[in-house]
Amino acid sequence: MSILKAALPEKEIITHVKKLDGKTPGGDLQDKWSKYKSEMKLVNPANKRKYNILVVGTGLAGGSASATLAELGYNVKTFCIQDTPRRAHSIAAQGGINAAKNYQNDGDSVQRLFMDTIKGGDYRAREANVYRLAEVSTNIIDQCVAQGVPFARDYGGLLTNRSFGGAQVSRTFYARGQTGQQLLLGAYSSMMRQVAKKQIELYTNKEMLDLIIIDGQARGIVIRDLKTGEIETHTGEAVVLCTGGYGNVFFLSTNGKNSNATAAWRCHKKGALMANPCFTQIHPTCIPASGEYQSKLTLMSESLRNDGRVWVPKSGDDKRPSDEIPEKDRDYFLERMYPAYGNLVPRDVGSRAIKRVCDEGRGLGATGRAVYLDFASAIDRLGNKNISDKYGNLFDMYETITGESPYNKPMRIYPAIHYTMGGLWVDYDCMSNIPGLFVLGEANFSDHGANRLGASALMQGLADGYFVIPYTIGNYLANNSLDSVSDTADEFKVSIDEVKKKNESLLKIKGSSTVLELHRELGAVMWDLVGMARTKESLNEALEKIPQIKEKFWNDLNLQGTENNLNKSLENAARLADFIELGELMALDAYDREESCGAHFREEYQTSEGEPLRNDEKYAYVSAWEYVPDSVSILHKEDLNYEHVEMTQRNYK
Amino acid sequence: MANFITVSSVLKKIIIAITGISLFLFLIVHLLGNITIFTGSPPGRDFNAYAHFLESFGILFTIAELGLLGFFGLHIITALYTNFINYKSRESRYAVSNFAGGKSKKTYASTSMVITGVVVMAFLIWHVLQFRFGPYYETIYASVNGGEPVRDLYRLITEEFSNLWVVLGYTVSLSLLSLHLGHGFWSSFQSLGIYGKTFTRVTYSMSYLLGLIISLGFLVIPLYIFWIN
Amino acid sequence: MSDVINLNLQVWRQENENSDGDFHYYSMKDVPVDISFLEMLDILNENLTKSGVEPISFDSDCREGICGTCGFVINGVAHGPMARTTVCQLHMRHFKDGDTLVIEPFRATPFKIVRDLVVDRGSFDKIIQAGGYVSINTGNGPDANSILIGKEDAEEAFDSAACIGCGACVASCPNASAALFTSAKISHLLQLPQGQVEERARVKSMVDKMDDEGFGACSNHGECEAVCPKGISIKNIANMRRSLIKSIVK
Ligand SMILES: Cc1cc2nc3c(=O)[nH]c(=O)nc-3n(C[C@H](O)[C@H](O)[C@H](O)COP(=O)(O)OP(=O)(O)OC[C@H]3O[C@@H](n4cnc5c(N)ncnc54)[C@H](O)[C@@H]3O)c2cc1C
Ligand code: HEM
Ligand code: SF4
Ligand code: FES
Repeated sequence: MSILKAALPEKEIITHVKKLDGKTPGGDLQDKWSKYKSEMKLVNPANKRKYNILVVGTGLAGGSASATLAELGYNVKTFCIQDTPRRAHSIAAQGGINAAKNYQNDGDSVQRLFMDTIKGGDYRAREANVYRLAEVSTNIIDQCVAQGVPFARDYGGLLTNRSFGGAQVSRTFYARGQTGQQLLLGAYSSMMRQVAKKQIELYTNKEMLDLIIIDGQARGIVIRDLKTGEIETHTGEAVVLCTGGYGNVFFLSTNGKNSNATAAWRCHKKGALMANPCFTQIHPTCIPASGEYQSKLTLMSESLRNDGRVWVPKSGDDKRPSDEIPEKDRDYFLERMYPAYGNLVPRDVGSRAIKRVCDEGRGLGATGRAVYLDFASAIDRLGNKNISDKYGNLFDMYETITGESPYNKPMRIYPAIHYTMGGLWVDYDCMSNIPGLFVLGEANFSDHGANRLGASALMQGLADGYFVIPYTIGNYLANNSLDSVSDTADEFKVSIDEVKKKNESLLKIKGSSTVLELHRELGAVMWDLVGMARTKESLNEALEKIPQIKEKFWNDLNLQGTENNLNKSLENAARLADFIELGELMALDAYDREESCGAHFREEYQTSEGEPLRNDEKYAYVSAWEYVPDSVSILHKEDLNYEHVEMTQRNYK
Repeated sequence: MANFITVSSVLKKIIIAITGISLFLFLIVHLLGNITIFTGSPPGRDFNAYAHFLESFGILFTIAELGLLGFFGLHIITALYTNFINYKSRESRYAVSNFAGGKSKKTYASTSMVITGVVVMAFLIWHVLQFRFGPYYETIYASVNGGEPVRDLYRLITEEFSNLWVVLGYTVSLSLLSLHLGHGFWSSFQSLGIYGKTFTRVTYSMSYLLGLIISLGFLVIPLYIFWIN
Repeated sequence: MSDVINLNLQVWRQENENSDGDFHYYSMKDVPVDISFLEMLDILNENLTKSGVEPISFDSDCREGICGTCGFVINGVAHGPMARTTVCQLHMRHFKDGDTLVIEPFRATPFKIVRDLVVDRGSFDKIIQAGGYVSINTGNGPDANSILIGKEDAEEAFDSAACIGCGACVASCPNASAALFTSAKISHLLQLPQGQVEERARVKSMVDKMDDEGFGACSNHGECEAVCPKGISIKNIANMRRSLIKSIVK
């Protein structure tokens, strides 16, 4: 069953368009947040402990939110899939976290971080949110240092910074190549302190499978105990969803195996709007898939492009080993195509160029999906020692995975899906259109517009959790009278039934295709047709193929085991079912947006230099989709009004 | 006692280390005393004189002996109790266990501290019964104890160590002691929180050698006596 | 070197925490040497699923050696034969054609076996709850640069903080001791001014918790450091002990 087939290719069929309000407070951009905070209603401290807050997810967003809400005195229940909260995928972030501290005295400021983020997002983010993000960024660093996060320091004992793409100042704080880990462990330790104080009840190995709405407000969740398969319910006065991004729609991505869209998607099906789902970011320097058994992709820091030169053989038939290919037979295509920026073009530009040469049949190896990143000339110039000081641990990591040493042989790289800017729609309060359902971190459609700058996701997750939600949730609770609900309410019973039925029906199919095969199939379609370069035709094709995969999934799935035991295949199957539906919406969203912006590249819309060509007149809005069972989703538009920034064309030539 | 059991595992290990290293020092003193076996004439004069010198402290000597016994007791009880807890910490055992190599300091010696310890304990009981509480021979030296009779431990030793089984028993027990000390020496510093990159490397690399030297030092006597007889 | 190898696997299978487990034998043909150990198990699971057998449960998430989710014992060594490598980063090129591999879950009384190779390391959370944090509420931190920390101190603190909580140290320890894990956190905070304030209370309470959870005592086998994917040094254990002595003496 396709919700769209009938509708395509007549795009105008997406007619049910509604306007949406982000509820940005008034006043000057600089004062909005502080003024808004001072005008909020507060919850009496004695009353806080009467409120149960359900926090789903323990990444940077969920961990920081749980800890802070518990410190304020709320009763917090926190849920995560893993056996301990410390394993949330935030742990994998390497590069660093931005903050407008201006410690380097190089002219950074809140205003500049705000501008860089808006520009990096190609003018598709909400101005007031981005400003608030830049504003609280400085507090994040203070908080993390106080928790004992061992950020890099210089010899004088002060914090040091590194530069990251999309900025001309040095504002990225880092802890070796493990910044995400250290920040997460900081949030986790604060959380553990509250667990010890019994302010947080911790639920590990639990997966949220449904949202319960009573009288129009989010009042509970339904979860599955992953060890026993038992379905449980929890009630609360608010639900805070911090379940991360959905990059795994593409099967191969830099996301962890447990990263999924299920919680968000089930909320979407209960009425939460899904915003900008087609905005997905590709990272150009990942270790390529070695073959069909590849299970995920590993990121290599993009700093490597400072010294590495990207090339492929001029001829696709040239199968000689790299060291036997003379200079004249090599094509340093980034340097050729972008003489000014060369190997240092932005993520999206570089990624597309790499894909192009591979599509021409000049990619390397058996898969044909790799290009060289060559350090030979840098090693000649600087010597092994210098290169190893700069990139030693990255080279080691590369060698562990591939068995080849980048000192002797050029690295092979290929782009991979890395981050999803889209997510559940939220207003300025980080609350979705369902009252009481708050969404934080990568799970919301976020402050990054159509493209996220490096080191800004960690910043956003922590900003949401430490400094935004504690205020806005109080305001919500103080302004709404919330009758007590019981988990024996009909809404819960219906939902439990549905969840159980869904699992049972998955187990009953007894077909022949495994979850992995079907997921790979979906991934291939998404990557080829809804990947880093999209066209009307490719999206059309995707919108035909995805429903076929869905059909196959529901008729031919081979799932072993039972539902009342640990069953990873069952978990993955249920998640894949949601990925398939989300994939379809992503294609629809990309189809609707007839412009290129940031990471969303429609080949029809590019400048003569191959840059994304925006259409601000028609598309300066957030697309927020409303789920309609068995029919075309309804598009809600939140117009983006830039009061303080002028929209200009990005140019990296 | 209840109090002792509730003492944390780290503290227990500290107790094992303090007693262990003290016993180690005692062994060194004991070994140095043993050198007297090879000096003096007639053979055994210096040795018997040394033994007499120690006994002449009277009540002080007894207190020292009891103290030593206390250290042994504390060492043994704490170590055995700790090992009992350790055993319970892995209710289901591995089918295959192995050595990771690299930086690991796990050896056959380190994993058999209880076994070597218990054998050493049995050996010590035997050793003490054999000599401290063994047959009482007397002898007289003009230069010792003002010519009054003293205990002739040397004779006892020569008698005992003429027996092949006794010598074999000592060889086995002392070999195991060398393994016990081989892991025990460096380990007691680590247990007391004394770690240094170089310090630990040096103590570790000499630990097994030291154990061997001490054991050989003790072994020399039975072997020597067996040899000359 | 051929690009594929054949393997004989002997894998521990156990329905759930309370059931008895046993070994199952699988032979794997033509395993590409470029893939990771977990990808090899993925293939096995695909084959099992296709032949109507329930796949082997094993845990993983990041598959790049940082989340600490994966882990089991291969031929008696936690995380397998390569130093400083989690099983998700262990590649098949390190094995030989015809190898027999015995795969067992991390075993320790406090790590309950959930199923097959999956264990629950929640007891690590309890140890951290006993004091593995700095008691500071959100918003109370002074300006980040008001606390000066020398580069070396920051680096050393980082070395300790790098622990991924995988549990290999416990799994490999003949005593199932959690000393390396616990001491890494104690020593991370000990080496920073922010953490020193609560040092005495922290070390006592964390050490007691470690015992309460049922972990063994450390006998200085040092096997933990050798299998630790982050190379956490037993120096941390010495730091913990010194800190405990200090807390008692004072
Ligand atoms: C390899 C890599 C490197 C990166 N490097 C950087 C960087 O250098 N700088 C930067 O700023 N950003 C970086 N990012 C992006 C950044 O790490 C993420 O965007 C961010 O950490 C997301 O945090 P989160 O809290 O929103 O979600 P996550 O950390 O993904 O947490 C999700 C949580 O939700 C739980 N969960 C999910 N679904 C359910 C469910 N159904 N029920 C219950 N619980 C559920 C999970 O258990 C988990 O606890 C990187 C990302 C990757 C993949
Ligand atoms: C000559 C006598 C002995 C000496 C010199 C000695 C010395 C030591 C030393 C130095 C250690 C290391 C302490 C540490 O790691 O902190 C040790 C450990 C140990 N000793 Fe002894 N020991 C002696 C006798 C015994 C006896 C009789 C037993 C009887 C059971 C014993 C059992 C143990 C055990 C089990 C350990 C290891 C404890 C652990 O698990 O860490 N030892 N010993
Ligand atoms: S100390 Fe090492 S082996 Fe132990 S949990 Fe931490 S990372 Fe794993
Ligand atoms: S799966 Fe994350 S460390 Fe192996």
